[in-house]
Amino acid sequence: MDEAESTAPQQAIVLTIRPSSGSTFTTAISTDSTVLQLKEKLATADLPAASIRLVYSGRVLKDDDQLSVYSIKEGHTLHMVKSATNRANEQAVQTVRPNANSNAAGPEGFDEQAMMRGFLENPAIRDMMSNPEMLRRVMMSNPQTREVMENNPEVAQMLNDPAFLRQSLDMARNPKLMKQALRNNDRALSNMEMIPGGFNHLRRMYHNVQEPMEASRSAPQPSTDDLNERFAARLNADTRPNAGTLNNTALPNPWAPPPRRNNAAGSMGGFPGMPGMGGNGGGMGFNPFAGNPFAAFGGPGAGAGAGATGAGSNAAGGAQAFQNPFAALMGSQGMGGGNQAANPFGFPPMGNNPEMFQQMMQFNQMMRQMEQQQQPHTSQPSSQLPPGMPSFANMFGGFPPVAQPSSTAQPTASSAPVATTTAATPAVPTQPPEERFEMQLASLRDMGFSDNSRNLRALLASGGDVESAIEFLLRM
Amino acid sequence: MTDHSTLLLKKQLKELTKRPVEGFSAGLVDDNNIFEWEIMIMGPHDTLYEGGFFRAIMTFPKEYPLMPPKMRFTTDIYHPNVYPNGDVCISILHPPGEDKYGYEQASERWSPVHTVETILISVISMLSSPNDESPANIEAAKEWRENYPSYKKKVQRIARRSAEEM
Repeated sequence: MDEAESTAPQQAIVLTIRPSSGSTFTTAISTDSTVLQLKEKLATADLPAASIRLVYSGRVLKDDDQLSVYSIKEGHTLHMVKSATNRANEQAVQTVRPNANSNAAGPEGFDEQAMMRGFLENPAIRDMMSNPEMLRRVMMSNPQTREVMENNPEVAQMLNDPAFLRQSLDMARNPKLMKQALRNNDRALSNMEMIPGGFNHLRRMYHNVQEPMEASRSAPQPSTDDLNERFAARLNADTRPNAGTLNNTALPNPWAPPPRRNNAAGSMGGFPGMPGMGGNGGGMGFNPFAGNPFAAFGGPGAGAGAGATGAGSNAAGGAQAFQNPFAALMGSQGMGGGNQAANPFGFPPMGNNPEMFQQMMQFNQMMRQMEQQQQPHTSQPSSQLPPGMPSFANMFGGFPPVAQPSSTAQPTASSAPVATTTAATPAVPTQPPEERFEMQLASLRDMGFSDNSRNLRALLASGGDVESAIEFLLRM
Repeated sequence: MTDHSTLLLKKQLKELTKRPVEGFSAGLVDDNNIFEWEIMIMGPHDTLYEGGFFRAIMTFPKEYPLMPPKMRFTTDIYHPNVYPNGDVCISILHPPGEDKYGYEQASERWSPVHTVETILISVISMLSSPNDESPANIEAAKEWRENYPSYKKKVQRIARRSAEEM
């Protein structure tokens, strides 16, 4: 850290900017410019300078300060974050509704509907909306929407039908109808999930329709690959199976030395998302729209149309809040497929935490359901479960044998290392471990390992294998 | 020993200024004191804390990396694993060794391989998935477990306020 460098006046430096989403980029600026000048330089059409926050070295940069105040130097990286409050204010200005300072969070999500309603009540907009031809043109002017329509004739058909458009607009205007429709959608979705194959169908729907739709709303955002990567990172999966091939990479060793532990906590990040899977919409619901994969239809043409005209109050906030139950799903699928699958489950405290364990069991049940659903409907190409998943389910299916007092405690499941982990969770067995491992404990005692509770822990960890238990004890 | 810890921290700081990690930004409170870091955690996406900016101070002991740093939020935060005074309670920040209460195994506790980055990644993941096994803020943990909607509302309000305070 050269102090001389920071005081040199009028020096142009190249900074790396790291936005909260998307990839980093660089920009050149002189150190005596103010933070505001830098923000103006970074501002884009959909991200005005006023809503940019720059964070460097643990501090939010103040507009009036010069960059040199923060001793920012060549090659340093700044975080660029969209500020939530300003974004909301902006929306409020657009829709002439002050104090609507929520971006689709929680109960205030309904405000958004109100905004939308206000927007639709506007005579000019109403006029435009009543002209189906105009509406269609507006929608077609968005290349992404057009692409979706071209790839999905059903969708095109729907958007081309003036009656449908008018109907859905009426619905959006009437809060009661809207709420009802959203509820119906949620209901229908969960029903669909229950019927065999329905889940896969929803998934396909999501891939074919929702994803491109979403992409068209937030055009400058990179594809969902990014999102997937984030999930993968959360789940600790640093490699991904090649497409089209079986994932036969070995499962990671849950007893690997501590470095892995660093990440164990990180990997838990993805965990709570899972219950959201069964719970459908409601689980994640930040916004009535958010929980609803069909929002693209439910808040129909209007959402897309509004986005296209650039006046969209809902589209702007909606795009961010637009995650849906499938997001959670994608996460858990990544888990089944990702070869790091064992890691979150190798997390020791789980055994002490009945709640977590319950969650696991629920997850297991869901996995099984999914498997069953897959069988009657194998005709759908996109319905293949990731290769890791069946064995994953087996792993839990293999519970009963684990509980039996077998000395090896290795169930029939194909994923032996994982299964051992399950054996290691003390909450599982029906018999107290002291009884289960009586013989092994005795032999450990004979060998001079006198601390019974330590021995027991080692045995639990090794799944009853005396030799590994000894190794474990020596390492402890 | 002090030299070693200074070097190690300097190296990490340099690395983090050049190639920061998503979700937080780190710097020194006072450029002459490498043992006190200023942290800004940006509320992770898809969590209740989204949109919030949380400041924290991380204090390293002279024995670092043999002993863990302490972390304290200076922004108000409501979370089951953060004490009401802002102290963060996660297992990897607990001094190494066996836990006398049997909650944590040695392997979950501090180990010298942890860096500022791994700690903060753990903290960020803690934000999204609280661990209510050994809560630091009992009230928050109770609310999280029993009255999630109200917990959610409170957290979102705090996140919003933290963004406004900037």
